[in-house]
Amino acid sequence: MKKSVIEKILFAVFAVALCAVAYFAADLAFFQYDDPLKRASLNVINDSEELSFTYENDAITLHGGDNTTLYALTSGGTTVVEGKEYSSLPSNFLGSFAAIETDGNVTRIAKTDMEYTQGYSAKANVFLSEEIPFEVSYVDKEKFTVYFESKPLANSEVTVTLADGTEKQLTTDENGDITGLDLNEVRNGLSFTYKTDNHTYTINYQVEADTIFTTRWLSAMLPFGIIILISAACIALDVFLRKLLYKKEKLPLGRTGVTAKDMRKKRLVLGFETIRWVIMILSFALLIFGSRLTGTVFSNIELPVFACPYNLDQMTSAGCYYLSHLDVLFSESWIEILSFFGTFLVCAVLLGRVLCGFVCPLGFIQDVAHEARQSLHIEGISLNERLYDVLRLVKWIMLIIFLGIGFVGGSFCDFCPAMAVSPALAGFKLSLGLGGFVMIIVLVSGFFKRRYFCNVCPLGFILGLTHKISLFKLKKDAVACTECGACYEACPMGIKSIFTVREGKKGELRAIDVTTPDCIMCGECVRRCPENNALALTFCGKKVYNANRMKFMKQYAPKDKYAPFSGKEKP
Amino acid sequence: MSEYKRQGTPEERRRTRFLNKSSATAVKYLRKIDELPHKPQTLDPFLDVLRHIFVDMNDAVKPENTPTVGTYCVMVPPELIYAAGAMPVKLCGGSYTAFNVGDDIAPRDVCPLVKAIMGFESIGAMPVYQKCSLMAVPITCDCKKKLAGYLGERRPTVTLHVPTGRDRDEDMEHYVRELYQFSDELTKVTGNQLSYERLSWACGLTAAAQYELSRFIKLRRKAPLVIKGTHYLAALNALSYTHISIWTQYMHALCNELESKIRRGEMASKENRPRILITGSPLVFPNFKLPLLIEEMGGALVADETCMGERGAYDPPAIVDQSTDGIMRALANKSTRPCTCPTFTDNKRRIYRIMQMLEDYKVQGVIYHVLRGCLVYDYEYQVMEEEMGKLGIPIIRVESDYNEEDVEQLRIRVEAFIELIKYGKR
Repeated sequence: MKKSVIEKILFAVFAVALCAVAYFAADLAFFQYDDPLKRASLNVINDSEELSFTYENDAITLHGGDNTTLYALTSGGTTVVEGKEYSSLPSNFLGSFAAIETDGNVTRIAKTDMEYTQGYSAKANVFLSEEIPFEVSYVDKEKFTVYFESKPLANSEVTVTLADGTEKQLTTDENGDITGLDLNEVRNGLSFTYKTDNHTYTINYQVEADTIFTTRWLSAMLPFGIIILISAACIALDVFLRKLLYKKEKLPLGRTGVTAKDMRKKRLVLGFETIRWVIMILSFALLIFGSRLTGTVFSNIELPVFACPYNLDQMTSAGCYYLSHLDVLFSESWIEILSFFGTFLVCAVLLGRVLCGFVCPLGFIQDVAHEARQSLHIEGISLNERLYDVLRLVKWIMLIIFLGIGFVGGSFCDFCPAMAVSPALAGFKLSLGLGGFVMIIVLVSGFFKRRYFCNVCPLGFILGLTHKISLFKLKKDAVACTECGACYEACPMGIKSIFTVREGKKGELRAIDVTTPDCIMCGECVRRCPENNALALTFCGKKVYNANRMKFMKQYAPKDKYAPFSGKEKP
Repeated sequence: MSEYKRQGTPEERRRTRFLNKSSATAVKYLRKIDELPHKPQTLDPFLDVLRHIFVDMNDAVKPENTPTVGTYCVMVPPELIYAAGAMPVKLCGGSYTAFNVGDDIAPRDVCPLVKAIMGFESIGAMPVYQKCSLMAVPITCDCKKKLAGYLGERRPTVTLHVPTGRDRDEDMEHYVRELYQFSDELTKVTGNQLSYERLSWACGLTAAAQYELSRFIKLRRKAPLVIKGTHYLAALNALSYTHISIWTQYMHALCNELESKIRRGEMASKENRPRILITGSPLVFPNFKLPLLIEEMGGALVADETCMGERGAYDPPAIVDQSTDGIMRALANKSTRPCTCPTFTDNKRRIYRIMQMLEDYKVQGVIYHVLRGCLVYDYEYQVMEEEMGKLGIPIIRVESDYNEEDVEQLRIRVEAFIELIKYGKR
């Protein structure tokens, strides 16, 4: 009795500490870039004719003009930049440059937005000042808004010249928006020309050069590299300590594995698991390099997975941002709010936690860590019911932090482990808050316990709420089941009911719905089920993946006939 | 042994008498199995194993210099023993002769299986029993518990405390600890340390056998029957005394022959034979009177749910975690959780299991075999009868002992039961 009270108090202290740490996450920085403004060079098009600028290291150079003025956008408005170095930039600089030169009846402008200012929901920067009469701004990766004399230019014809010289005639709509430009066309740089009766305005919109696989990319990867190194060190330390412990307890050292090799020559069995890995790798690539690879982006789809929205190269937006920043969401227009909840509901009902098992990049990374342990044969940590119950409580705290932190002035992003991965891989330099430390925990615990973070994931919990109306279901045939517990042992989410349920709610025996809000539909239970038809994954009532004894046995039965033991002996 | 001379001490004479009698019984039952029609050619190696053990009185069939470990229930995972470099022999006794000896040592109500084991132990004449380096006795029922004590006084013995329930995680963790202790004892016998490499190799061995067994089970589900029930019981009994790699080869050949038989359409029974499932207490060679009777009386013994039959090697370990601890957990899991032994407090899964078998094998009648004194199996008959009643499947409880006096009585009951199924009168 007394012990349980102490446990409760300890847990409450832990909960409060976790909340406090999450609140101050931005201050507990894991990695801080000193000078995030250090850029790569800019692409230059037609630099002999058009006005453009480049920057390399510290210096900003202007091309193609003589009497040009360089402007920078600051929080105080438009400012003239005197020097040609970063150090001369004002401290409240917002990240947009423009250069302007008027020559008779031709006005030439060059503009660029530095990559971090194309921020997630921030509207692209616009000067809207008298000095710059004609301006374009790149909004939401989908459209350009054209401004003329600080007002949107509605229903007018604009000529767009692409980097390779082709010209496009496009018309703005009533809001002054131009759509129909491919993302990769934008990425290569383009210029807009607008002609009034006696004046021609040209604006050259420049985007930074491709940053993947450059030294700059490597420097963006630095914090993630550090995280991996620290995690590997933690794992090595754990294995070493265990070896010491086993030596002390006089247990066989071979238990920790590491150098052990598998003595069973296994057959390669292609199946559901293979499909899952292919989908996971594909979605990982698309959610990190998607827009770069395909040139399109679906910014209206807010996929509820932990794909960091600070990575601007991903194929879709991530729903995690608005859910953890509900205050931001409610300040948006109601159409935005409706479309967000619409896509979220459709995702939740159609796919549910299938997204966790197949799509989520954070889940993929944990699965990779798990596979690494499998190939090293290091002992894991097997949780039992009681530990899973504790994790369930931690999940509730995470949920409160996830939904509530925005209202009290914090940001979940500083706490979120996903922020360390996908922006870095896409080459975005991002200073990390507490999230970097959390990522180390995710990697180390994911190494020893499969999909550890998924057990406390707040987003996954919200997705799982709709499991009753979700189209994917897990069905159990209680009669065929021998209750061997292999499914429970295999389940990364520790769902026990799948093994203990013997009768459905309506007394059915043959097709009991054993889907729970925790189920991520990874299919591990079906794969490890040795009884024909005892477990099945269904979609709209149709069996997609079915347990099969012969298939099960094929995974284990070695290819070769009997061979006496020939491994090396450990003393 | 043909010439009889009164010589030696009474002890030695008793020994000789015992060996003569028990080998005579074994020869008789082997002949009966051999003479059953539709015997596949490749069944002979299995019968040779039984002859090797029970008639020629030899040690288990195995590679040279492999120590043997005697095991008494399916809860002892053979993988662990193979991993240590030894081989398991299942020593549950079925000998009438040994039963008679054991009858004098054990109390009246002890089951004949345990009496037979105690008989073998007190005579000390069977090499397969005598050459065991270690005895592993899981504490399943009361008889086995006292047997562990009896053996412990005479031989190096390990007891494995089997949990009485299986749904709680603690039960499983407890059994994992038991297995680690067992593994330590095995290391003392063979000198081989537990390691991932050895365990995974041993799991590969048993997996190969279970792969063949799964093929065999699939073939057995064919209607009409492709192999006689007594034949497959003999094949599975032979596993108890054979190194699993050798048994796998035999099984592989048997499966291949059965497959070609199916292709040629040579089935082992006619369409209209009543299809019977046998469940309950184990049928250990040479106690094969019941399956032989069923087959003699015109029934088709299509399936068995007994622990010396299919159940003995049925459950595969699902190795989820490729590490030493992962395999140990998988072994503990597979040896207790799916086990249908009625010694566990709750055994709904046995009823479900039989319901599934009724469907898979298209069973028309169930014979519930109870060895006299086997309380736990007798307990479950009530529940089984009720469930079978709901499904409309006739069931009969057949109690027998280790002697041949009740054969005629059994014959009448089995015959009546088969007639009942045949003519559809319930």
